[in-house]
Amino acid sequence: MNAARTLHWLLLLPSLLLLALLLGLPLAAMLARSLEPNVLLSFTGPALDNYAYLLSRAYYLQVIWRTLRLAAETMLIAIPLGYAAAMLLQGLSGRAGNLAIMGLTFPILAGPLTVVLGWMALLADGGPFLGPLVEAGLIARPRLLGSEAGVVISLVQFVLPFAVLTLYTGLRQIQPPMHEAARSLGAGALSRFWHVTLPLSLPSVLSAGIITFSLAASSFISPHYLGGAGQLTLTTLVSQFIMATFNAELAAAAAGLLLLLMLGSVVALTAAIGRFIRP
Amino acid sequence: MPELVLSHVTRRFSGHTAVDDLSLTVRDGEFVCLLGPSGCGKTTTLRIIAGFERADAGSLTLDGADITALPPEKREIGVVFQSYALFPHKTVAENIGFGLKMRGRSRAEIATAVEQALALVRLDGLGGRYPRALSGGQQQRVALARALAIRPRLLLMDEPLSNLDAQLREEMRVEIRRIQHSLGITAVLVTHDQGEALAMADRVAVMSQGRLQQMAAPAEIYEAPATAFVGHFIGQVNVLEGRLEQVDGRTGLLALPGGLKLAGAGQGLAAGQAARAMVKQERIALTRAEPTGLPNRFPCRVVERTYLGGGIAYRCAAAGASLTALLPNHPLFERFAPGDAAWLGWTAADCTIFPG
Ligand SMILES: Nc1ncnc2c1ncn2[C@@H]1O[C@H](COP(=O)(O)OP(=O)(O)OP(=O)(O)O)[C@@H](O)[C@H]1O
Ligand SMILES: [Mg+2]
Repeated sequence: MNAARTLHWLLLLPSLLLLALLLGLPLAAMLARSLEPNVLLSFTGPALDNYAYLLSRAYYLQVIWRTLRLAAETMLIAIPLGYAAAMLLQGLSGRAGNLAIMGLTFPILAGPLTVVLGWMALLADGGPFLGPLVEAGLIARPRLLGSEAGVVISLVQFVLPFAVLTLYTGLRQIQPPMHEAARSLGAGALSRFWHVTLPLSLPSVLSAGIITFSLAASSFISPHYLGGAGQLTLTTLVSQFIMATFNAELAAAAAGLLLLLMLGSVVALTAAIGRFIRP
Repeated sequence: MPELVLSHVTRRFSGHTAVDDLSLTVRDGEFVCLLGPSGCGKTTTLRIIAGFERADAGSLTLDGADITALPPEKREIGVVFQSYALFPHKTVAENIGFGLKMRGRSRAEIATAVEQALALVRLDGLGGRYPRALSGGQQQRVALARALAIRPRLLLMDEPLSNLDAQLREEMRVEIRRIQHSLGITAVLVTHDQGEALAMADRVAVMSQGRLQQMAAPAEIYEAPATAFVGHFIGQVNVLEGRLEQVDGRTGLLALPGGLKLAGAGQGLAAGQAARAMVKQERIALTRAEPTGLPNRFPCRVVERTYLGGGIAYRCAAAGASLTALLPNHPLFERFAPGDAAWLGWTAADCTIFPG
């Protein structure tokens, strides 16, 4: 028994080492960097002054808050949308279902940059969506480009396939007799959803929540191209520190903050939804 | 008053007919077993009764009211699933109380009903557990209690005992009958285990390829099979093919290719016709002395002996025909070894002849 367990670890060792090397080392290097003095701040390192600096300026706090808000908004919109889509997907028969899943994965294959370029064209004031409405005098110029709404729209679109696929897998794991048992006991469609489908799919809702939140919080392309300088998030801030102000240490601290916040959010999310997962 | 009536119910799946013009009546308070080989349409029939599957043709009435188009949640029919389908995220008590909760009953009323149901299936005190913390047998009882808690008009069970070990299965047969009897509820149980059907049912409905073959009391199904299929399917049967030589009303003489002539009984027999005789293994006597009292008696040689515990099966060769006789494992019965010479014998009544 013990020998077998040792063997397991031995067999796992190469991949664990590789993971540590590829993931752990850069992370450690980045975190070490974030503790060092830089052109703006002189202190005897390693110390947390970079973090203190970022956390003491209202401007950066605003960036942090915006990052979390965008991620939360994206998650809160993507989960119900994804849930509805996953339920529809479940109703499709084999061939149509496969086609739909291929269609869903297409934006992932195309890559976020391609898709964001499309959104830039679509969301422009003179674009095909808003252009005619604005011209007809039906709506005032909404200026979606450069606004938070524009970023959220594109983020939702970006994370939606992941949400749908995660929720779809979760829904499929519910045995069909569960629904039939509930029906035979007198549960209508709404009761079945509330008492059977939803509670049994909560683990996948949690997964989808973590995935969508993390993807949105760490995404760079959408806030960069659609939000611009007026909608800085932690990722675009990191990029500014590196590319514009050449402050690698502050960039590392901002990235470290992002990492910590995402970890904290995942823990909070797990605690919040996990309370409802029984037994 | 007849309780459940199926008339000409048919269900097709992409060209394949799973249930074919099925008509049957389950009487008030009756326990009916649907019996048949795998794929004969038992589950489909049950699902049509429950409302999970639609009937392509035909109609169903329950208590005299047409339920053909009624959705399952309105049918007031309790269902026990083969996989039990207990809600894993609800406790035993919540599972059992679910149906009453859907009916908007008060908390106190549900609690009382759950206690009663738990007592009925002898699971007192386990209401707070989650299904995964129960044994298979206990889960089965919870599934039964859950289906019964809504006081259904009809109880349906699809192979409810198939996931239990042999001993528990026998116990649950008695238990299910006890509960069904004490509640006086009408019940339909699907099984492919003929022992289960014969032991439990008031009447057995034998199905084959989506069609009803015979519906009768267990003894009648066993002793007087209505079709060749039932004759062959129920019990352990010797099938002998030949040609009818003489027919006199319901009795006939069947000549086998090897020269044996069997006296038997059947319906719709005509001389010259090809026919099959069916003799149950335990109805064949195997003796060293000639059984002069039996109309069918042939000298034979024992070919193979199979020890079965409660009985011993002897495969014997007689004039080119191979027959198996099943004797009780009891000192009053003679013992044989392969190679022994002996006599086979049976009555004409135990030799059912089917044309074709
Ligand atoms: N949803 C379905 N789609 C297509 N064919 C089906 C479907 N359900 C059942 N069938 C077919 O209908 C026939 C009867 O199936 P059914 O499940 O009723 O058999 P059964 O008597 O319950 O068999 P078993 O003893 O193996 O459970 C089978 O040939 C099966 O393949
Ligand atoms: Mg079946």
